[in-house]
This record gives sequence, structure tokens and C-alpha cells, in this order.
Amino acid sequence: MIGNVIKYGASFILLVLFQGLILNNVEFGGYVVPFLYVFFILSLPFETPNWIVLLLGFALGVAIDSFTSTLGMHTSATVFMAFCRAYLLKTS
Amino acid sequence: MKNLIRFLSKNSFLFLFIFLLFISFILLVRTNNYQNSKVFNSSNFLIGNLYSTINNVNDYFNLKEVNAELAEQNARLKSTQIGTFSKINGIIVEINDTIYTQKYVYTSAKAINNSTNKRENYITIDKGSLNGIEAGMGVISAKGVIGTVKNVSENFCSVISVLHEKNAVSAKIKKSGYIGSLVWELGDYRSAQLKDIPNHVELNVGDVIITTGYSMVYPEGILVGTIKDFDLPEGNNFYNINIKLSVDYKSLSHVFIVKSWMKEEQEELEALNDAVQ
Repeated sequence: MIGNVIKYGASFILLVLFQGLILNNVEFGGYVVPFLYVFFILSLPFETPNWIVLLLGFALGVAIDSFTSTLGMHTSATVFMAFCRAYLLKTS
Repeated sequence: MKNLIRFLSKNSFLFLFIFLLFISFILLVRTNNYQNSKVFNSSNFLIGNLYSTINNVNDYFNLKEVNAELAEQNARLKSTQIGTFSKINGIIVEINDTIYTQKYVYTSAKAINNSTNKRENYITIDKGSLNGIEAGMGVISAKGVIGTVKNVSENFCSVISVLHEKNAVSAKIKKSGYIGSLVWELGDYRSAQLKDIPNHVELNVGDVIITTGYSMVYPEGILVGTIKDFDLPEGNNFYNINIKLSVDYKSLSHVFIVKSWMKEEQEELEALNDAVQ
């Protein structure tokens, strides 16, 4: 449990820094920006309680948004994504 | 009450989701102007149609002001014409005047399409190559600088507005004569920035900014705007100056296209300098 927290905490920080400092500056063909940070939500273990995923999604979105000063844009997307994840896991 | 609590706890995940989404939407709308205006616009879609009808009617009431503006300008132009000056000695009349030679010719036109909300704004004007319009000519209105002609078709031309990321206008402070370049940074269509004014120049809010006429696109002395505010970042040699543009780009109608007779001559001369180096 503690091991997981450390592991995913580290991956959260690394992904946010990688996204904010490097990938945000990459533009394929002028306007396609690769968003790798959503991998964090996908990579969470299946048995994570859904509400934790939601809160993590929210925190992740705010962290990414503070890099691009578009507060709320990524946040709403990641929260919705975390919400969908719960139902996708239930049906599959 | 018991049922309500059970209902809430049963659907706690859904409610948490709605709550978080709600927060993020509030953040989104409050911190981003674009979304703010979108939400505002779409919610007013029905009323928007009503407004446009009312605007059409209002335009007729504005005709009086537009006419007054044009009449005022006509009067000003007439008073500067050489024909209005009477000869003092009244003996010599020279037909081929060699003292005066015409430098700029104006063509009156009307803006028929216009945008102010993009990164790169263009204006379409109802005069084209049939009227002698060429790419590179300047466009002004009675109130100030509008832009530069970019593409020309037979009957229309498109103009790079001052409100264009990559358009820079050579401008100077009327009082002190210092020259900078006027650029528009995204956002407000009523303001632009004046760059390259060194930090020893004395500035005041309200100082008038005019064109320099260096590039021969616009005549010298066309109004650009007034200084709205300025600051000097620490350790910087140049001011940050915000200009309040004199032209309201959202309500363009009558404009003038400026043809410079001497532009090619000047450009050829200046090209010689580059060739020598």
C-alpha cells in the first residue's frame, strides 16, 4: 500500500514535469500537442477506489493547467476521464 | 431524511464527479476569456438574432454621425487643396507646377467584411485591381490607420489589419518624435503595444502616436492612437507602452486606400544600398 503510494506519487510528479516542461513545447505539424500525462490515470491499479481516481484526476488536471495557465480546461477533461474509467472497468 | 442520506451515499461517486466537474467548469469559465465569451454568446443565441435586427435599424440613426464625420473630413481636405489658396501677386500662373508634386492618391472604399477576434485579422474592401488597387498599399480611415493591402482580386481586396499578429506599423510619438513599431498582441481590439521606445524618453499618458511615413505605405502624421499606460520593467532599456487605438475596428465602414507615387522609387533607391554591401 505504502509502496504503491510512493510509486504512483513519483510517477505523478514525473509525468506532470515531463508534460509541462517538455511535451507542451512539442507541436506536430503546428498544432498537435502530445498529451502523455493522461497515462497516469490509465496506469492506476484496477482495485483503486473510484473516488480516489476522481480526486487524482482532478489534481492531475489542475497541475497540468497551472503550466499552461488554462485553469479548468485539462481539469474538466481528466475528471470526466476518471469518471468514465470506473464504468469502463465495470463493463469490461 | 434517511432515504435522502441513503440516496446520497449510494450515488456518492456520481455526486463527487458532478461536484468536481462543476468546480472545473467554474474555473474554466472564470479564468479563460474565450470560454467566457462563448458561454455568454451561446446562451444569448436567441437574443442575438433580435439584437442584430435592432442593430440594422440603429445603423440608420448612425448615418447622421457618419455623414457628419465625412463632411468634416471633406471640409478639412478641401481647405488643404492648393486651389483654395489665392495668389498674392496674381500675375504668374504656372500650369506644370514643379514645386508641388503629388505624393499620395486616395481612393475611397467601403469595408465589407471584417474580423477582430482572431489571431490574424483581415478586412475585405470593395475596391480591387479594376480600381487600380495593388498589394502593399496602405489603408486608413478618417480616424486612423487600418492596415495594408495583401491580396487583390478584380473587385475586392483583402487588407492585413493592424490587429494582426505579424503586422507592425512604424509609428512615432508626436511630441518627441521618437520612433517605435506598433504591434498588436492578441486580445483586446482597442489596444496595441508600441515597442522600441528607449527608457530615457519622457512619456505621458495621453501622448499622441502618429505614423512616420518611412515605409511610404501610409502618409506621415496619420493618427494611430494615444498612450493608455506605460511601464519600465527593471533592468530593461525599453518601455512597455500600451496604446489606445484611435480606430474602432469593430465598426469600420468608410476607408481610404493610399497609393504612394514614390514608393517604388524609394524602394529601388534603398535596394541599391543592400546591393553595395
